[in-house]
Amino acid sequence: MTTKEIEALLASYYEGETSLREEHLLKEFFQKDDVPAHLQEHKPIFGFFTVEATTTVSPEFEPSLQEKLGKGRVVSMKPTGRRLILSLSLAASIILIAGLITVFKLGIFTPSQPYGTISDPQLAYLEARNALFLVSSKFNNGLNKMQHLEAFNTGVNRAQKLQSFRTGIDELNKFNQLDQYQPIIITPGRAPR
Amino acid sequence: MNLQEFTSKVIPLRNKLFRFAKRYLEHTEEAEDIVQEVFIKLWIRRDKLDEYRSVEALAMVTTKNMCLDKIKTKRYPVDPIDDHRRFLENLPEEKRRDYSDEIFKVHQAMKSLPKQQQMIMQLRDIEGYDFESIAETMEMNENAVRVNLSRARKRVREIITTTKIYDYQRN
Repeated sequence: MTTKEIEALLASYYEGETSLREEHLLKEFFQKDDVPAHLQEHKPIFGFFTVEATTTVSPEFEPSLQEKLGKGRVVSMKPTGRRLILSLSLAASIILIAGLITVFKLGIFTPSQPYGTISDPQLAYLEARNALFLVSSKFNNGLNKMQHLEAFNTGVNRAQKLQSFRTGIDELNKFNQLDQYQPIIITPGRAPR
Repeated sequence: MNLQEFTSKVIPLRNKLFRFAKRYLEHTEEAEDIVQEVFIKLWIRRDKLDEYRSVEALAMVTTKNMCLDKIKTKRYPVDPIDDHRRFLENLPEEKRRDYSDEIFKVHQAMKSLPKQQQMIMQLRDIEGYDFESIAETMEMNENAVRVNLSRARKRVREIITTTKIYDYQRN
């Protein structure tokens, strides 16, 4: 290939107009060591394409894939990230709901035996009245004990007398005026401000 | 399609699919995982594979869609390898010699392109697909493929020639 031809190919290459065969010729041309100086700038581009095409998967790729396909463990993709969190929370909620259902079914929160019921209305009335009397008497009993609180009130009333102590204190405040005249008393001849 | 057929017809696509996925995800392990998942998906549908005009095209589109889903979740780490030395450290021994400073610059230039242009360049300039197949995989019309390819090629040339001038001036 002449340099002229290469130049023409390069021009159409950059316009995206070369065929695959022509591009192959360009790659081959730039593989050579004797590329003319004015075309040197294109050499690494084609060199890069050639090198990149040789990148391969790691040696571990194939055995690991064959294992996945061969054993038919085709859906054994390791759950990671969001998928893992999703499945864990799903499991947790199932356990929670199952737990709650069991607890209610076993009747831990409901009394094991219903309270006794009375079918005869008259009897029911009497029973209820008895129960209320019982409550009432106990209540009164408690109320009687409260009577002693009266004594506390009398004490508080007596303490009211301390109010007059306050008036006395107010009277004493008049002595504060004395402070004003103190300088005069200590240094005679000096007029009060 | 039985396992033997699958192994001889579909699995040989692994390197192409891997390079394609790696161009999308910029991450070696993630790309390998995606390709494995693609094969598993195809294997599950093995009875229907013969109905497709081209299993290869189906595999490419499946890979593309899985990569796009992966990118959407943004839950995969991206190789932040931007300097030449660290790039080489992550390559297998025998590949290091291939990536000279100049070739690494092309790698970086390509990486800076819009994703769609990168993918078209990958399919055409690296894998050597015809425009029809690229249009099918990328779900675009052939003319749009050609326009984007031309833009990508010109942009890569522009980037590597300007960095060269810059290096020259700096020295």
